[in-house]
Amino acid sequence: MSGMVDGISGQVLGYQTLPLAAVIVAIGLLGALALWTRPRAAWAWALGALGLACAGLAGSWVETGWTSTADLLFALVAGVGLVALLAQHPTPRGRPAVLLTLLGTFLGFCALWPEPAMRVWALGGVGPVLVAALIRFGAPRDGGWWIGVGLFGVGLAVLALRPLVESEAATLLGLIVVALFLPVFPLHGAFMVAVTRLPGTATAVFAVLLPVLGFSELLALAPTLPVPWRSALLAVAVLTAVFGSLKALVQLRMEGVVAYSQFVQMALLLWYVVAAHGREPVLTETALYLLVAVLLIWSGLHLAASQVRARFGSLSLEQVSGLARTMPRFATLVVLLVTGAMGLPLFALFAAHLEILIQALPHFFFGLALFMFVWLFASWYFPVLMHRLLFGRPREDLAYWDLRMGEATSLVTMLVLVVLWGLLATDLFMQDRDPVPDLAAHAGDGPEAMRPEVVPQ
Amino acid sequence: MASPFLLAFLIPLLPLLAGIAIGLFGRVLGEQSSRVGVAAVVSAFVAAVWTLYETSLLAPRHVLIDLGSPISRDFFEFGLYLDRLSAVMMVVITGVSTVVHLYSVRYLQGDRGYARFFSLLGLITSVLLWLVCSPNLFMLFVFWQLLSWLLYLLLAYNYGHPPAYHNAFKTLLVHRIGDVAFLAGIALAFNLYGTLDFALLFARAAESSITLPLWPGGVPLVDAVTVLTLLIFIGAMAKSAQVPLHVWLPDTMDTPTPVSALMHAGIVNAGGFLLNRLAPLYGLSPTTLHVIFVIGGLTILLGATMMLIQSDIKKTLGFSTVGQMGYMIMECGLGAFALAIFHLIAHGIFKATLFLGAGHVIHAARRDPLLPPLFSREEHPPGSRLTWVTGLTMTLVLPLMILLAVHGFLAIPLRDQQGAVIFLFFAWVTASQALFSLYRLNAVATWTVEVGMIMALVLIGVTYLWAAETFTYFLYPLPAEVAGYFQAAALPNWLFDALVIVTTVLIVGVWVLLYANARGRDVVVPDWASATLRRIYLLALHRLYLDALYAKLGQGLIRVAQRVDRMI
Repeated sequence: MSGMVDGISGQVLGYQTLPLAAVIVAIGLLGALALWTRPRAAWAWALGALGLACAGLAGSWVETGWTSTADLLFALVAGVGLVALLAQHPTPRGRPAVLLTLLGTFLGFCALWPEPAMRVWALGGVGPVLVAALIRFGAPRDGGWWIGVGLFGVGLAVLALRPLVESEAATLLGLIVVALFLPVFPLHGAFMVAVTRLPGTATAVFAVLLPVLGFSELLALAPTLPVPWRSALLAVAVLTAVFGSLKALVQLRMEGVVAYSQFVQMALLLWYVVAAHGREPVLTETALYLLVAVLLIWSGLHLAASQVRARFGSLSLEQVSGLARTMPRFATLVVLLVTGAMGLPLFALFAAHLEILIQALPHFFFGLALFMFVWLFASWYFPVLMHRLLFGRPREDLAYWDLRMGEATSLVTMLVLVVLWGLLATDLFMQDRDPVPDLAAHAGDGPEAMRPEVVPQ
Repeated sequence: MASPFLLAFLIPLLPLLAGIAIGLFGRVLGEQSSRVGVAAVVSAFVAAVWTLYETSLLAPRHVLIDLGSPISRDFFEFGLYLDRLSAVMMVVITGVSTVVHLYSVRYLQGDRGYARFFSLLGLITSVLLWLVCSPNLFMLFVFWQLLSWLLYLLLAYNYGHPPAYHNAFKTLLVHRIGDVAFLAGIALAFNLYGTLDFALLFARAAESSITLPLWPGGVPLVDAVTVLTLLIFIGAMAKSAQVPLHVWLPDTMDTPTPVSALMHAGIVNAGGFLLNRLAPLYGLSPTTLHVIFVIGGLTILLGATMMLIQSDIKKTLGFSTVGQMGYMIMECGLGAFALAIFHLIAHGIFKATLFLGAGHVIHAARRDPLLPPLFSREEHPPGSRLTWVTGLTMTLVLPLMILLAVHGFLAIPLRDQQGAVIFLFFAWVTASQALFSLYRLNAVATWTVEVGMIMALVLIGVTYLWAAETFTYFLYPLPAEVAGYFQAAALPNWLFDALVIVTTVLIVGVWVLLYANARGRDVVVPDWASATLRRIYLLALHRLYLDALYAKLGQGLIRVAQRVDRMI
């Protein structure tokens, strides 16, 4: 971990490997399109291409080691893409998801490219791709759907306007991009539509890709934010967390609970990046740790939600029950993922939250209250999700079948990665710390700060 | 790793490995799962007994088994912290778990979730063991949280049965409230003292006096140790079912009998252990100790009252545990930390026996239509002289003897630091409960039963006196440390006197009322007192309306969420 603190724009693992990986993914995309009429062959081709790209990236990292934050994000996007493909049924209905997975991975590679022009191009490409996918393959088009699609349009307009305006206005437009992709209240609609209505396992890919892009923008903008804006952003982060928690509580479908709970975690990330301003390189390191932890767990949950959707369509949680009895493999893996998502130990999210809480930030007490709130609500809506989905009696009029090997492997992979990522926390906690109160040093920094008095006896 | 303690490492490891193995290969193992689980936990029990023997032979010291983790010692160290407290707790946990394992082998035979049950049982036993021998607050918290989650999964064992998983959810939510407060305490502790290692934390907290304002930049300033000990105490309150976080315990009876036994005999004791482990920290904050005393006292009174009024036998047992946990916590609040451990051991054995016996009786009753035997109230006259003499002996004479013994024979400074109130409270309330039982069960008002009850109470009193002396010095060998706790917990004299007077008046008053009522004599009770009694009865019958209040709160939040959902 200590090697990846040079910011998002640092040297990216060798310019030879990355273009090669991107080209391989592009070839995979073209091949899958060419094999459109043969779903199984298209799926195998895509899997092979993405696997090859991942192997190339991994080989490069083994050779050169981590060189930048972007390396890790590349790995994340590529890895989740591969796992999502593995979980996807190779059926005619699964073809859009295969294409979107490859397209998303390719756009992710381009958007994380160090060249600014390439980044803007890729960021601009994500919106139209999602809009087209939602129009062509998306689920029913209610009010929320149109708002989501419209917000992607706003994102495109913002990206087009950004080079034309002065610095403060550009920062504001940048924040809008962050809010669209990370996502942040009240511009979360685009993200929600993408991760709940895209076909198959593509939801997991975009649930990782969009926050990664939002996070990259946020890290780039964070140092330039004026002080009043920081306070406003802290308030927005709190609002996002509260709003997301309340929304997650009343969702009727698994994908809704998963999407809003991820939204809440992104609010914590935003809060941390703003509150820990000036603490580089710890800020990037910890924020990245939290981001990857969240995305690993939630991509697993999105995959699980897509597996429920593949079996039971648009049935609500109340209408699908008793999976613990009928789909024990699925139930076990979901319980483990939920354990991680609730911030319980052995999983990376617990370590990430704790790492943030022990940093004695200027807004420590406020942050503590926020984290406590999020934890409590997560302990409410996740068990409710489990009760509705897994517990109770199975319906006799529904056909249940447990996870196939590929589906189970994908969830197990995500779980293993989450645990491994949790173990990396050891590096974080090895940082030297002052024996006594960091908190005192920051007591006067912010309006929420407490002022401890240290009196030796 | 120190060689005599190498064995100790196996104690939590064996149930863990058994739990994982059964979890992974449960389908293959089938009913053989129980053998794996039993073998692991019995071995762990033997190792725990040996470890206790080794630990008690050595001069009391803390032995840390460093597993070679590279992590900063200030924050987190994975290992075992072996002192007499952890050794005693390991014996208790493995002992109770062994009994529960053995009992479950046949009790759950043929059950669909047989392997899952033994897997969870192994894991929860292991988590409890890691918890009691954690070398720092962080590791303790990790296992504290895992305990909440595993308990939830165990309580939801019958997941096809809605009341089971609803009550499991209620339990989880209450425990998470405690966990979150505990987390806040840990974050504060690390930020204030820069360490979570027990020894360092205690030393740094004792060396510096840090105060925090109640709100930003404001007054009054509050002692930081008080804040963080109170936060951690909320965690203990949730696990040990202290008022107002007791609501989960009486409702967790839809779970198999062995789970109830493990929960009531082992898991609920976690709070008492936590306070003991952090005794040096709690000893620095008299305010927190007083709060603990009040919460424990309230839990005793309310738990005992609600127990007497419940019409459901299982809920009665649940409230009985609530009351007993109140004793345990109150003892900590009085500075008698070792007694709390003694109490939790005694209660654990007694409650496990009760629950497992109840399971046996229920099974027998299902087979034999003549069980349970019919009870006829008419055959027995109300309240014989014998009954009342016994009651008088138990509630007045014996406590007095105990008080005298405390004053005359004990070396520990209970007398000087008001610790005798523990015995008074314990003896009086327990005897009053026994008296109620006696009052209800006139059918057994024979010399044998009466003498048996008196002897039992004498035995309890004597054992407590022994425990007060011996067990305290076993767990806390430094007399100055023990005296320091009692001193920190001492109440103001006027409050102490008032407490004793009020308790005495209450008990004597209730005695008179009961006697008069049984003899058919009129006692003039003011209208307001009667009305108050009726209100108290209704309050207790409805469990202080706390369940309803929490349910309303939850429904209110869901309504707000639904409104937000519709609006945006």
